[in-house]
Amino acid sequence: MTQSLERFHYDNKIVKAFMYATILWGVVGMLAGLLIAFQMAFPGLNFNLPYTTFGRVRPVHTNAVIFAFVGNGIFMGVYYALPRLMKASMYSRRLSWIHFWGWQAIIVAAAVTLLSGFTTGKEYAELEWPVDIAITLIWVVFGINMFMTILKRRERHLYVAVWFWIATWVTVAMLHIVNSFELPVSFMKSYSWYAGVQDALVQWWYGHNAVAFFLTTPYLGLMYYFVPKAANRPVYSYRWSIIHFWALIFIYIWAGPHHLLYTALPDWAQSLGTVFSFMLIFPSWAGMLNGLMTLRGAWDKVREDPILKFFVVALTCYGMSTFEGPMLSLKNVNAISHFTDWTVAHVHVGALGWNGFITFGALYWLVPRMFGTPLYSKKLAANHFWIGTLGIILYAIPMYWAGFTQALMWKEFTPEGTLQYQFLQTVSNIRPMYILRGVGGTLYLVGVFLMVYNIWKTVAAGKFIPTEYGEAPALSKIYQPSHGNTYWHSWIERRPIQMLAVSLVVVAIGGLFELIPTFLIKSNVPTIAAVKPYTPLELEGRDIYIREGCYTCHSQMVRPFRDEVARYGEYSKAGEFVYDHPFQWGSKRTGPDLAREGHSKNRKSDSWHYNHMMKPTLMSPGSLMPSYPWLLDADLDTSLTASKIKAMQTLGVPYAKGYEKIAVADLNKQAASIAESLAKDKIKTAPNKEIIAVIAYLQKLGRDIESNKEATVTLK
Amino acid sequence: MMKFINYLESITGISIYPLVSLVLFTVFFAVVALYVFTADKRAMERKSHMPLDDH
Repeated sequence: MTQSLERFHYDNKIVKAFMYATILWGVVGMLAGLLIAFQMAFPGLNFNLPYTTFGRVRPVHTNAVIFAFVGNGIFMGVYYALPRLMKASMYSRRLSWIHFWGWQAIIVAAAVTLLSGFTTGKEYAELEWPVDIAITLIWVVFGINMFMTILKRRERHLYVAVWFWIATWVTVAMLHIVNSFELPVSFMKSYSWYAGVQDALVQWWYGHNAVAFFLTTPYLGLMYYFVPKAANRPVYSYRWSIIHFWALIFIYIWAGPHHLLYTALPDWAQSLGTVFSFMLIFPSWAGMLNGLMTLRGAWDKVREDPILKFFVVALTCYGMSTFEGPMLSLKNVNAISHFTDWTVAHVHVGALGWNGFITFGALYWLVPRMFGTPLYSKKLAANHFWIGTLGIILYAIPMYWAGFTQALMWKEFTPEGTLQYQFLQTVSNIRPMYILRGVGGTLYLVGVFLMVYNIWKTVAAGKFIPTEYGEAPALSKIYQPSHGNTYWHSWIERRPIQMLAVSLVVVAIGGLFELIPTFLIKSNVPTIAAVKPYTPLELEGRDIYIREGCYTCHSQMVRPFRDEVARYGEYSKAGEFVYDHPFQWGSKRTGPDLAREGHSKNRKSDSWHYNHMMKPTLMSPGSLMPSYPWLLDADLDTSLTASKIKAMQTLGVPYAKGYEKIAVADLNKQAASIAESLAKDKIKTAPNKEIIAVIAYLQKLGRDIESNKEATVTLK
Repeated sequence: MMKFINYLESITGISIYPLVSLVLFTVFFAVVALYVFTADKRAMERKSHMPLDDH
C-alpha cells in the first residue's frame, strides 16, 4: 500500500537562537571560571567586594557552564535533531520560544541573585525558591513541546538519542523537585526541608545525577546523533547502544553516595554508592567504544576533519572520566582524592573535554548547514582543537598534581607522631599549580574565541536558512512490521509515553532504595543531647556563612582518619547535624575544615576572627583567603529573625514555643557580649554588625560536642 | 556509645538492601542483554541508519 507523502518544516530559527545562547553563556561561564581560578592564586583579584568574591562567583561559574552553556547546548541539539528524527515539525513554535526566553531569563536571574548573595547553599542547586519554580515551569514547557512532537511523529521507532532525551527530561524533573523541597522564609530566602545527613544524601543524589542526567545522558543523545552525522556512517553497534542506555540510567541513579564516603552517612548507603559507581564503568565504556568504533575505517577522515577530531577527544575524555569516576568511588582512593583538587581535575576532564568538545563539534557541524556556506576556516577550527586540547591538558595535570600533593601533605606525620605540615603550608605549596591551571583555562578560552570568530565569519558569508522541509508518509494506525520478527523492545521503542514511564520507574528504584531508608532512620539518627539548636545570632551568622559561599572552600566534616582527628578534633557524627538546614559539609578544602572551629582544640579568640575576616593575611601570613571587609561595616538585618525561628520550628528544630518573640532580644544580648569581648582586645565595634553574627556562628561549630562525654570516641 | 555500626543496626533487615539491588540489576541487565543478542539484524541496521536518512 503506498501512502501519500506529507510535507512538513524544520524550524532553524529556534536552533539558531539556542546556538547563539550556547556560545554567549559558554564565554560568560568560562570567564567566570577563569576569574575564580586566578583568585585562588592571587586573592587580590577578589577586589574586596562581595559581588566579585570567590564564594559568590564560583556558583555563578558552575551554574553558568552547567545550566546555561550545556543547557542551551542540549536544547540546540534537541530542537535540531528531534524533528528530523521524528520526521515532524516541533509541536509548537510558541512553546519553543517560551522555552527559549524563559530559560535565558532564568539564567540572568540566576547570575544576578547568586552575585547578590541569594543562595540555598546546596551545590549546583543554589538558586532560591522563586527561580526553582521558574525552572520547573520552563522544564514542563520543554517537556510538552518534546513529547507532543514525538506523539505526532511520522517515524514509528524512536532512535536511541531520543531515549536519552526522554530519560533526561523525566529524571531531571524528579531530581530538581525532590532536592528543591525548601521552606520559604521570605521572597528570596528559604531553608532546606531536610537536615544534616538526610540533606546531604538528597543533595548528592541530586548533585551526582545532575552530572549524570544533565551533563551526560542528553549529551550522549547528541553524540549518538552528531557523530554518525559527521562521520556519515551509522553508529557502530545499535545493540550496544540499547545496553548502554538501560544499564546507564539504571545504575547512575544509585551512585550519589560516593560523594559522602567516610562521612557521617550510614555505612550501608556508602557501600551501595561504591558498588554501583564501580558498575558504571561497563555501560559508560560500552557507550564510549560505540562512539569511537563508529569511526572505524574513517580514521583518514579524522585527520582531515576538525569536527571528528573534537568528537574523538570528547569521547576519549568521556572514557577517561567514566573510568576515573568509579576509581574515585573506591573508599581507599576516595580517602586521598576527596576534598582535594583531584576532584576538580576529574570534573574538568568531563566538562572541558566531553561537554565542551561535543558542543564545539556540533556547532562547527551545524553553522555551515544552517547558513548554506562552508565553514569560514577549517584551519582555524583545527587550531581551536589543538589549543583547546592543550588547554585541557594544562588544566588537568596541575590539578592532579595539586590533589595528590596536598592529600599526601595532609596525611604526613613526623616521627614523633605530630602532623608534619600546617594546613596553610599545604595550600601555599600548590599555589604554582593554581597559576598553571589558570593558564590552561586561558588557552581553552582562547580556543573558544577562535571559534567565535570563525562562526562570525561563516555567518557573515552565508545566508541563514530559516526553514527546511521534509517529506514522509503519515504513520498508519496499525503497526505492520516491515521485516522479520519483532521483539518486545521494539514495542517500547514505538511508545514514547511507556518509554517515559519505564525510564521513570528505572530511575526511581535507585532513588527510593537510597532515600527511603535514610528518611526512616530520622527517629534513629542518634541525637546527641549536648547538641543544641543555634541561637538566633548563630543562625543569622550561619545564613551569612551560606550567603558568602564559605562552603565552596571550607568543609564541615571531619572524617575518621588519624590525620584529620589530629588536625581538627574528633570525627563528625550524624547526630551533630540534626539542626542543619541546609547541611554545610562542603566538597572541597581550599581552606581547613571548620566543623571543630569553636572546639577548645582549635578555638581562636573573637578578635582573631574579627581581624581574620577583615584581612586574613593579618592572622595567617600567606593565606589565600579573600578579605571580607563589608561584614565589619554592614548592619545585621534582624527583621527576619523571628520568621527564621518559626521556619526552623516548622522543620522540627526544638525551640521553645513562642521563642520567636524573644529571639531578637536574645540575639542582641549575645551580640553585646561578643562586642564586649572584642572591646577587651581593643576592637571597637557596634554589636549590630554582621561580623558579630559570623563570629558567634564560627565559635559555635563543634563546641557542643565538647561537653558530651558519651559522644567522644577515641580512634583505635 | 556512638559507633558507626549503630546506623547499620538501626534499620531492621538493612542487609537485604544491597542484595535486592544487586538482584534487581542483574535481572534487568540479563533481560536487556537477552533481547539485544536475539534481536533482528535488519531491524537493528535500519534503526541505526535513522540519523543518516532524516531528510
